[in-house]
Amino acid sequence: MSETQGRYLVHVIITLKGSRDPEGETIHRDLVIANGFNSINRVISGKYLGFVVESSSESEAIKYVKDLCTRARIYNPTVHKLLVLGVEGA
Amino acid sequence: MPRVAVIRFPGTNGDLDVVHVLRNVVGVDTELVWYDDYRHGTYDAVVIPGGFSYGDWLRAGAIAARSWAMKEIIMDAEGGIPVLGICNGFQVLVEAGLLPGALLPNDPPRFITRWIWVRVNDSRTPFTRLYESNEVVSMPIAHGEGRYFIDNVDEIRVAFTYFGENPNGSIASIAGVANYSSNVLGLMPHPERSAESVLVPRGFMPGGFKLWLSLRESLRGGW
Repeated sequence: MSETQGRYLVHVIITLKGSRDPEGETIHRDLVIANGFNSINRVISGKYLGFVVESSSESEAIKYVKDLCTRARIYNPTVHKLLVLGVEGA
Repeated sequence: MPRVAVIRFPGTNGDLDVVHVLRNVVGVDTELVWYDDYRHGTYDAVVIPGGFSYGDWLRAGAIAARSWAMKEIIMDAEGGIPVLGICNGFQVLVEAGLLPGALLPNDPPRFITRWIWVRVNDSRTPFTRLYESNEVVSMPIAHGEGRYFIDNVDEIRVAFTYFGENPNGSIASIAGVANYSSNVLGLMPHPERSAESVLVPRGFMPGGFKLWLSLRESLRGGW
């Protein structure tokens, strides 16, 4: 049984783990709290990337992108974590 | 005569300063090499200068680190050739895995450019052998992503630490790191901008000069 190829957009974000996030802290302190949004406890900064990939399914597309991000060191595992935010048809 | 390659990636801007110091200050045969033209086994030492390779896109040094040229440089580094990374070059070496850890955006989060003091923690590398052990010297820094981070500081070989103040929030005030084979060194301060007294502001000293002299002596006499 042959699977049909489709085109998917995989959304990923790279955030820091275990080290301070001065960009997030500054946005929180000087933009969020300074403007009175006191219910926000923390802001986390990160870098968004979207990958449009030919794949047989959504899960295969995510797997392919995760593998790419690890092998091409799109994120540095010493300090970053990679989050897949979602996938959609593209 | 030993020959040093100074690598120019798209966006490198410290290359001509390094070439000038090597050629005119310490008198070493030096070639400016466009990254795509680098071939392993050709040179006796490699310097990856500072700048903004690939516009710092993705992360400082991340794209240059995956270039074909870096694969060639890694082969030379594994063969024992001295490899020095300055500023963006240090970021490239870390991203390429030749040195451990990571260089994160500064804390506080802004670009800093000024003269600072650094301690030479390790004078057993080909780049630091003429410094006294724990000698404190001055060099300029100019970077936005210089906050060194690693989970376990005890596992690495610290070559330079910021003395007095820690300008960028680096863990353990780390300013430079070497590998355990001694031949790969990276640092955020700029020894090429502090090798001649004419460039040194009042109250500081040309702290980078001995690094280039050390490299010259290492290339001539082994290390």
